[in-house]
This record gives sequence, structure tokens and C-alpha cells, in this order.
Amino acid sequence: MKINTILLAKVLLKGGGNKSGKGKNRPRWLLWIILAVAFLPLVAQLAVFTSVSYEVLKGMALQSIIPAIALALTSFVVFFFGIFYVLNTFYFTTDIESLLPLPFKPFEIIGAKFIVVTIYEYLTELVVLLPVLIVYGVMSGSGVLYYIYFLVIFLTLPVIPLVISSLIIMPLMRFTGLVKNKDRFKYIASIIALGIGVGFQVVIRKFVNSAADTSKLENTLTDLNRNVKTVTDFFPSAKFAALSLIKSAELSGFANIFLFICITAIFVFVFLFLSQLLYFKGVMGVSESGSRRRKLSRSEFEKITASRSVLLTYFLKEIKIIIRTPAYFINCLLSNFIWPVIILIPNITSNRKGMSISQFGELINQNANQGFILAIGFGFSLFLASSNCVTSTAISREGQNLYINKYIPLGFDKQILMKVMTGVVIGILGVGVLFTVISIMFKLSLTFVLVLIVSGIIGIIFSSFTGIIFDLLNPKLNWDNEQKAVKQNLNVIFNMLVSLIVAGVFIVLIFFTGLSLIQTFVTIVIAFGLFISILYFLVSRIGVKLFKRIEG
Amino acid sequence: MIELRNVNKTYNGKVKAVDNLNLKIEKGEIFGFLGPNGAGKTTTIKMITGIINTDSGSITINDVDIEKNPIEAKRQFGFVPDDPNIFLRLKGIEYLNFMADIYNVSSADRKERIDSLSKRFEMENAIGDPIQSYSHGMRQKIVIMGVLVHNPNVWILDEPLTGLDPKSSFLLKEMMREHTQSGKTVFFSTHVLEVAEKICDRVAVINNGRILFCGTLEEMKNHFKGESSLEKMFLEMTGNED
Ligand SMILES: Nc1ncnc2c1ncn2[C@@H]1O[C@H](COP(=O)(O)OP(=O)(O)OP(=O)(O)O)[C@@H](O)[C@H]1O
Ligand SMILES: [Mg+2]
Repeated sequence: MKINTILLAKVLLKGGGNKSGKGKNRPRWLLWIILAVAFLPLVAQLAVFTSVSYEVLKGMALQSIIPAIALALTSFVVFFFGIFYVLNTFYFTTDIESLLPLPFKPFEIIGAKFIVVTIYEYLTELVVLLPVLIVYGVMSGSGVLYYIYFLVIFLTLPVIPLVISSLIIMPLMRFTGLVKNKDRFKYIASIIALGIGVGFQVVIRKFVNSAADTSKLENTLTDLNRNVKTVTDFFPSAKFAALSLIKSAELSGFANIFLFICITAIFVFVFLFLSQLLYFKGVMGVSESGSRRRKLSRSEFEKITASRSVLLTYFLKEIKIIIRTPAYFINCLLSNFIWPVIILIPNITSNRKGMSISQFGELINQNANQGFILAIGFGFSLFLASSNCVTSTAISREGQNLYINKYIPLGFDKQILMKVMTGVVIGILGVGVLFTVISIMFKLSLTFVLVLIVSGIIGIIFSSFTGIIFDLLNPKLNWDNEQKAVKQNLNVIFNMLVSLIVAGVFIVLIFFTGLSLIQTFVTIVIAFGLFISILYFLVSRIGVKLFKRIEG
Repeated sequence: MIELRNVNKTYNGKVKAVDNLNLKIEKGEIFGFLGPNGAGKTTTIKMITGIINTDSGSITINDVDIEKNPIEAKRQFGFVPDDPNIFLRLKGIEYLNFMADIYNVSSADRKERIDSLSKRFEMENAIGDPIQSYSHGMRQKIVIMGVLVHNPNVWILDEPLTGLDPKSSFLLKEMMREHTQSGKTVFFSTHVLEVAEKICDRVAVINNGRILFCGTLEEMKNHFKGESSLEKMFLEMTGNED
């Protein structure tokens, strides 16, 4: 039985089939190197940050708060990503329909999917947890037991947060079987699940804020356990994990890791038990779509058959498919609003410490360094448009149906441009929400808002173009369900990386040159206007050739 | 009219799918393209429709070259692919309207055609629903309707009859007849020899990427004096190959 589960998990993981074009088998290690390079800067930053904090905290004899914070925050990150992973892997794949006829027991299917999600989360841990705890281990001169405990914790930590995200999603999704409009309900349920996730974020921010409050720290300076407790209250299990690491040299370290493993095991059993009740009823009919089977009324008929221009019709087709395909809706559209939320929440919740929001707004309005702030807004738009993956998966999303684009009498250049346009419009939606909220919250001046909006649009156009170039170069067309076109697609990571680098370099440049608001704006318009023209040229000349070359 | 001259296609530098193919489909004829699985039918059709590129040779549709003047060439034909699972997230009627927009069909024409096609194919109650909710045969019907809605001069269909119920299959054959009677062209691949026998003016038999026979069914019968049935002729022709 166990063997079955593991075999199935392997198949599900491989199903990603990163092959594009036939016979072009990119070696797997290349993929790992690329991923490693992509995340190395972040890992290095975290390592440096940890070693600096270690020195500082050591002065207060508080260094052991590091593993506690690291584990609690990782648990939270795992939980938050878990909402996406669980939605995608458990509900928005159609592989369940091919699994059901096979002789698997229900818990084997659930177990296999859970393993897949856990493995995804190991990647998260590699980036956010590994550097911190290795540095801590080295600096505190911990013994072998520390590293053994760490390995155990690394492998088991994602379980509890993932069970929690599953248990938020599964009861919600259970209702899809009951409602008529299944597709629509799936959207609503995912938005609710995200809302709960964001709610958690607000709460945990408060925890971290109060824990990081130095005055409070000093009060409890002597009571190490209590400090660890405040931070890890949220994910209680993380407390035992942290204590086992802190006290790895003592017997109580062993007691704590034992407790941690026991709690994790209990969560696994609870999960397997509940999911058998909740999962299959919710996932049945994932591919069902609402149908009414009735004749259209005359007015409905007239409305739908209105004639439009060729370009508009192609653009609307793109948008409709994104909105109506749950996997695309989540990854291309909803993800657009996650970054704004993540950025806005700390500002909304933490106004009691440091400067208040209106003070911050005044700072923007009066400060000579407005150019720098504009550069940040610009960089953010650039990044957001790359993270919504509309253009960097635009060709991949066509999958086995790419050939349709080849036989319709619409130039490839026009098709590609409409795909870019889709990315730009969706990007503007995401950035627009954020900018509107910020402008109102900070009471920004009209000039600043206008300049910000224009720069933002330029940034979005730029990364929409770079995104489609990556996807034209190497689209991922061999997928069997839609989420694979947008998840596990390297083009998304490439484009985010390029956007991060371009945005970073630009922000640093503006910081060091100290350009004013208008100077920065002019720089953006001229420099990126030029870049975009070049990209436009590339896409409409070479892009067309690439498109022609792709043979699904 | 479709014309292929010395067309070659090799996949991955290994599989020679189409080997120096010459074929001319005249105006006003229904042309059947026969051959066993893997013979190269779909590959040929994909090259005609511009879905894949030829390695060498030229293809024209109504004298317009698909390589040199792709957009104009693509306006000449309507294509029914062998896999009807397309645009599943769109409603049937949205798909039809999409095709009408892409091929610049006037508002009045499309309304009238969608109306009459959905009646003839008995899809009136379904066109308001997503294609995802259709059965295999209904999906085929909507793809065929998507072609008919822009009323192209040349029809190119890859195994259009497999999966259709008898009534729709009869209807499609009847429409092919009507279409060619007005001097237009129909080119389709099939495995069903009886269909070919009944409605095709001419057929070509392809195997391993090479044309083994091209002509009317009368000619084929003369060629194989001894054989009585089309099936036997077909088996003899394609069986001798390797
Ligand atoms: N995308 C591809 N990559 C590699 N080889 C291919 C590809 N498509 C087809 N082939 C090969 O080309 C040859 C011709 O295939 P094709 O699809 O044209 O056959 P067909 O006559 O349409 O067969 P069927 O009756 O089964 O539809 C076969 O040997 C097939 O294996
Ligand atoms: Mg075929």
C-alpha cells in the first residue's frame, strides 16, 4: 500500500513533463542549476542577515530566538503557498479522473498528492529555512545532534502547515459538489481561502511585531522559553522544533523533537481521516462545467453574435480563457493581487510603530527623494507584471491546441501582440489597485500619481514583452492539464528574474544619481521607451519566426 | 483547388512522414485521402494548412502559396482538425462568433448561418453552453459549424466522419456534395472505404509517405482487375509495401 502511494507520487511529480518540442530533452541538472542561480541571491542575503542578527542578539543573550522565528515564519510561508499548491494539486488538475478508475485506495491518492505538495514545499524551505539554520548552527557551534534534528525538522515541518491549509480548502471545496455553477464556486472558494490566508498574515504580523518590540524583549530577557513561546504561539508545533534545536545538546532537545514528531504524526492521521470524508466528494466533477441545454433567447443570440474587429475578438478570447480556466484564473489573475495585499497589510496594521501613514505620505510629497520613490513604484510594476505570468506562459497555455493559431488567417505578429496586450491589461489591473489604495492612503499629490501611473504602465509593457520572448523561445506545450502550463513553467521564473534584475539595477541607479521626480520620469520614458521599441521590433520580426518554428 | 509539388517532410530528421508528394485537387471535386494509420495523411494536411512547415516543395491553395502568402492562402480554406477538443472554455456560439470575426463574416450573414447550421446539426439547445460540456460528436459538429460559418472556398477535413452519428454524417456528406456542385473543393482524409466509394470523385492512397494511387474509383477497379471489393484492393496496395 505504501509502495503504491510513493509510486503514484512519483508519477504525479513527473507528470510535469518539462519537454517542449519533440526530441529536445533538456538535462534535468540544467534546470536545477538555473533554479539555484535564480534563488542564490536571496539565500545569500538571508545567510548574511542571520549572521549579523546573531551577533547583535548574542549581545542580549537572545540569539536562540533565531531558530524560533525562522521556524515560525517558514511554517507560515509554507502555509500560505500551501493554499495555492493544495488548490492546484488537489482540485484544479484533472488527473483525478484518470486516477479514479485505477485500483488505488482513496487514501493512497490523497497521500500521493500530499507528498507531491510537501516536496514542492521543500523547495520553499531550501530557500528560506536552510540558510538561516545552517548559519545559526555554525555560529552557535552546535554538535552533530543539531544537524540531525534539523534534517528531521526540515523533512517534517511542512506537514502541519499544509494540513492546516488543506483543512481550510477541503471543507470549502466540499460544497462544489452541491452548487450548480461549479466553476464559479471554485473561484469564490479560492478567494475565500486566500482571504483566510491573508487574515493569518495579519495576525502573525502582529505577533512578530510585538515580539520584535525591544522593550518587551528586555522585560523577558531572562526567560528564554517565554520569548520563544511568543513567536511560536501561532504554530505551536514550531515551538517544539525550535526548542529541540536550541537545546540539541541536552536531553530536553530529544524530548522536544519527539514531541514534534508525535504532533506531526497526529496531524497526518487527522488529515488522512478527514480528507477521505471531504476530498472525493469535493473533487468529483472537477471537469464538469455548467450547462443548461436550452435554446438561447433572441436577444441573447443577438448579443453574442455581434461582430467585432479581428484584434479585439482575439484579445477577448485570451481574456475569456484566462478567466474561465481555474488554474489560469488563480495563477494569472488572482496572483496579481497577492503582492499588493502583502505589501499593503504591514502598512495598514503596523501604523502604531514608527511613523504613521500620513507622515509617510507627507514624506513622499515633500521629500526631495521623490525620484527614488517613483523608481520603486516603477520597479514594482515591472515585477508584478512578470509575476502574473500572463505573457510568460501565453504560448505554453495554448498547449496541444497551438496549431489553431497556425491555420487561422491572422498574422502571427498580431496574435503575439494581442497576447502581450492581455498581459498589459491584467498587469494594469493589479498595479492599478495598489496604486489607487496607496495614493488615497498617503494622500499623494496629483502630479506624483500621474507620473507614477504612466511609469507603471511602461514597466508593465516592458516585462510583458520580455515574458512573451521567453515563452516564444521555449514554450511548454506538452501538458495534460492546465495547471502544468502555468505552474512548473521555467519561463515564469526567467521572466521574474529578469524583471527583478532590471528593476533592481534601475532603483540602485536612481538612488545613487539622486535624480528628481521629473528627471527620473524622463529617464524612464526615454530609456524604457527605447527598450520597448527594441523589444517590439524583436517580437514582430524574430518572434514571428520563432512562432512559426514551434511545431506542437 | 489544392496543388502540392514535390513536398517532403521529415520529423526529427528521422521519420520520413511525407516523401516527394505530388497531388492536385481540382475545383468542383470531392477528393478522398486514404491510407493506413501513420501513412502521412495528417502530416500532409498540416502542411497544406500551414500548421507545420514543409522541408521542401511548394503548396498552393487556389493558386495562393501557403509559404509566400500565408494569410491570403489561409483565407481560402476552412479546416476541421482530427481532434475536436478545441476552445473548450468557450461557449459553442462564442466559438462560432470568434471564427466569424476572424474571417470577417458580416453581421447579417453570420447570424443567419449560425441560426440555420445549429438547426441542421441539431445544436440549438447546446450552442449556449461551454464546449467542455459537449460529447465527442457534438464537439466535432461545432468545429464543422465553425468552418461552415465562414463559408470558405476549399474545405479541408481530417477524418471528419469518425464519431458523428448516422444523421450528422449523412448531413455532412450531403453538404460536401452541395459545396462541390457550386465549383468549390472538398479534401478529406478517411479510413472508411465505403464513404470514399460513395461520395469521392477521386481518391489518393498514401502509405509510408508516398502516393500509391491517385485517380477515380473506376480507374482503381480497372487497375486491379482481379479484386472485387475496395477493401481487398486497399489491403493489397498497402500490404505489399514493406
Ligand atoms: N509530431 C510528430 N513528431 C514525430 N513524428 C510524427 C509526428 N506526427 C506524426 N509523426 C509520424 O509521421 C508519420 C505520419 O503520421 P500521420 O499523423 O501523418 O499519419 P496519418 O496518416 O494521419 O495516420 P492516422 O490514420 O493514424 O491518423 C507517422 O510515422 C508518425 O509516427
Ligand atoms: Mg491522422
